Amino acid sequence: MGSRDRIGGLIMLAFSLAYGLMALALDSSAGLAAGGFSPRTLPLILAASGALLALLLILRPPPGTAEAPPALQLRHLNWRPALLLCAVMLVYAAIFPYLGFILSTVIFLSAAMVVLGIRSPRLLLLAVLPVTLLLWLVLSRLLGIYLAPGELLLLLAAQ
Amino acid sequence: MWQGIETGLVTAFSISNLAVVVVGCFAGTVIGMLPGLGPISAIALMIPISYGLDPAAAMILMAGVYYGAIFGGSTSSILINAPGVAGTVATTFDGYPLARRGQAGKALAIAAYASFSGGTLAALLLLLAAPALARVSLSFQSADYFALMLFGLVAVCAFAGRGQVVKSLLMTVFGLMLATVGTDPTAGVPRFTFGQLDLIDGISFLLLAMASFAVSEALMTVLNNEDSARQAAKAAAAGAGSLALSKKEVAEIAPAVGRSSVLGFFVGVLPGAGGTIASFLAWGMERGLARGAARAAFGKGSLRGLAAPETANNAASTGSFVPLLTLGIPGSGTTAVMLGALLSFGIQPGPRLYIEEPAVFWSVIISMYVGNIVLLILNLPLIPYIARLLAVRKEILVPLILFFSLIGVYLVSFNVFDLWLMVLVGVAAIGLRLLGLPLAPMILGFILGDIMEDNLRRALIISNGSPAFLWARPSTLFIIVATALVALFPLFNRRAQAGEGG
Amino acid sequence: MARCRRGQCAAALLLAWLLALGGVAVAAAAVVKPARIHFIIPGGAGGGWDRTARTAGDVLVKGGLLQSASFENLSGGGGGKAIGYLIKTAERQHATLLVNSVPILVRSISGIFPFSHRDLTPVAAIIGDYGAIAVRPDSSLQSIEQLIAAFKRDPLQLRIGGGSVRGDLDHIVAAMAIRALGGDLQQLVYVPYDSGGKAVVGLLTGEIQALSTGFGEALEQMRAGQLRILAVTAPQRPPQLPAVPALSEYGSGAEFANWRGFFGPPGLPAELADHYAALLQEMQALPAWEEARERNGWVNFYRPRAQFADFLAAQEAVISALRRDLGFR
Repeated sequence: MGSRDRIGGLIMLAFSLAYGLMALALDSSAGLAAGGFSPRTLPLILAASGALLALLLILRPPPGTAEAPPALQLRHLNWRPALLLCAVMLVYAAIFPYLGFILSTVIFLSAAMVVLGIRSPRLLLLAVLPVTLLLWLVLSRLLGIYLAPGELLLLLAAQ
Repeated sequence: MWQGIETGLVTAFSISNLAVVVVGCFAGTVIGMLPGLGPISAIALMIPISYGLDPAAAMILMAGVYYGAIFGGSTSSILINAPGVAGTVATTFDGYPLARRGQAGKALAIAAYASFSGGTLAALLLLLAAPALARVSLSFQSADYFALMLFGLVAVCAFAGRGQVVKSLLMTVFGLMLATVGTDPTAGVPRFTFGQLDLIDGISFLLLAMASFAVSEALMTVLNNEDSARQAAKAAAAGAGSLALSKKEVAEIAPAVGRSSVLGFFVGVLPGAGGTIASFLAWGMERGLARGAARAAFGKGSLRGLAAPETANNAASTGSFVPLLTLGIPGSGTTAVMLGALLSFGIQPGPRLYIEEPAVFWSVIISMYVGNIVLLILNLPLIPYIARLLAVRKEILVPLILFFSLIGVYLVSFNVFDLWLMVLVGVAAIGLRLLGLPLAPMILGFILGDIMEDNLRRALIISNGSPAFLWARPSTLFIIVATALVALFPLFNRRAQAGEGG
Repeated sequence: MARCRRGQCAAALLLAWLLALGGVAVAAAAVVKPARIHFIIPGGAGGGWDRTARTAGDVLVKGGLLQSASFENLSGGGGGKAIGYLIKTAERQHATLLVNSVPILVRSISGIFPFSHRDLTPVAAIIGDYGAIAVRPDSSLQSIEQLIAAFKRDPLQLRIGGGSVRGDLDHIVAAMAIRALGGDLQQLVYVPYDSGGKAVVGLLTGEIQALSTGFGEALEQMRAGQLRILAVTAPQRPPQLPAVPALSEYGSGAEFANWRGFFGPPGLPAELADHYAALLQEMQALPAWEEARERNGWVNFYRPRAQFADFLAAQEAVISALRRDLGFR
């Protein structure tokens, strides 16, 4: 793997160019421009600056020392649990509108804890339920925040 | 004036009002610890409750809630790197590293003392200079604000340390790009929204902060398979006196606190600038003023680096009462809600308030300050217990952190789209961290981006398209020159260091 | 109870918990009768929409016109998220009202929203705020005639600011004023600010020479001695300030009200919509409403059902025409 700076610089360069291209597609009709500035002026300036700085990062020699900038280390990282956690968060976002706050949160927290290694159902219950219920009480009763019950449940209720 | 102050003191210290403050502070701290329910929501929620109280008591309640919520925000910034309030983002830079080293108690204590000192010094300045300050509030125009924001951005990058300047600038630009997502501030046109209605209002600050700080940090600890924070917290809990500050440490942070109070107060006096900018400027300033090892410690757990933004933040809150009370102009979302509250109590802020009803004016100010005091007294004993939170098992803590971050953002917008976006941003933030790119300039660029563009375009409309606005007014010119000097600093630094070596 | 293996007991317990929770949730979501109204607020807590809806709901309940009211903040998409949600779930939202105001017109005209007020059922507008043109108290412009004279002499030196983006509410009011007074609105230099409050600051610092804002806010600032109101976009002179002319005295049709009102979902049966409109009318007669109205500085502006729909169509036409003249699509 190459040095961190090179890879970072390349990614940012690509991003700046993509951003700049999207900026060019922005509307700059007369009504919107005022004082010589249209909605796309600043984005274009930023895209150019970003590309320039990214190039500097890629091409710059290391700051005065003989060592090369650190390489990108990925192998020693504990990927599986982290990726599973991301998946669990995505699932939470997906089920939340359908199952509502309480059920979704219980599922989310339990799944996340299982991913990280907790197997005992008792510990899971103890850690997950009180927090969820307490928070639901505080939010909906004490603070009067409306937490929609969840589409699936509303459908069941309508039957 | 003194009679007004006297009346204010008597009102504020009555038994019932003190009870109200205590309740408010407590409620505020709890609400503030849940990221997403920041001071604005906390105060808005208190408004209906306060209709039943008399105006003085209601203001005191809101003061307690407000300061409590800010302290709660500092708490989550320090303990779990989750800055729920924009003004506490700079607190994470040094507060979180301190907590990871097992010094969470000390960090929280410093935050409490620094905030209190900032509020006190700012209140003194307010006392001395309130009427004159009203004029200062009105002396800043759009061109000046633009210059000030530019200065802030350049300052944070210029002092970034050797080899880091380009990366900081790059991330600042990245943050500015993220700020352009949403509706254009001047023409109302959607930009970079990919046709998604959910992005019309842009990416919310809370979402970006939570995802790039808290979520990425939680996932990083999993990636690195470390439990060092917990070991350290256990060690600290077993050890003694985690709150105590040695005389040497106090002497070290005292000057930083003094300077940051003044800076914070005057930044707060400018309507629209607020605790956030003040905290970043203070952090940048202290880092610039530090030398050698002290400067290198910034961002890694420097006591000065923690004290400066906390002080400035609180001082700016006090400062923002100047435009609020003397001109009826709210300088931030929080003061806007308070303005609504004041109006509903029949208190009409404005230049006439100070002249015709000094008793009311000073009661409000003193009530706010009492909240500050009570917060310190209430929360200091709680700190050791709060710090113990870190001792919870990682397997339970990480899911809870993720949950609080996600739900905190959801509670602001009630929009499930934000949850998806958070995961995306969190993963991207991990990528950036692995590449060694600093997140602090990114978030500063994001926060200031909107304001900068807004003011820049307004300045251009007013100057009819000419760049002359940069030097037309002496105040603007002054700030621009200061910015240029600061921008050249890295070059001087490099030359000086090369000279030493060679 | 028979002894069971550790895992089984725990699993059974967990299942029982989940079913109980599910039951609670279902009961809570039981069918809502018209004696209860659910308000959807397209913005955050504490904002203008939020205060309007919550005040209306509270007054209705306290005055015995409603059994209970619930409120849901659904911000996002500049207010469009809530509208889209109401349209999507219309069949089960017959006891739901959405609060909104002028932005629903402007944002659908400008294409930010893929829908418009025609996709909802108009129930009633309840409050309104006319536009006002104001200057600093120490300004050399003492009347609206002097303002337009100065504008015609040198438009670049008479910058008008407001709390909306270009092409939105305050810009439209300023353009309307200039046109009614005989000026060329293509020459108008409009300076946009984030909010009315920031625009007032701009006026006080001298960045702008005149301000276009809501009359309610302008009146407050005037009482605090911060500005002088030169004209309003009301059909007649304001009762509080009989010396201030209404713009309609200079040009016909120079009227504009920033209304706030309620909408029901598409397909709402007419009887229900009429019932809600009648409820809102009765609400305005309650002393609790009068107290809240006074406290918030709102002006009653009641337009029910078909009147509301006609009013919206008319205002939409006015806004479109002005925007086209200003150079927007």
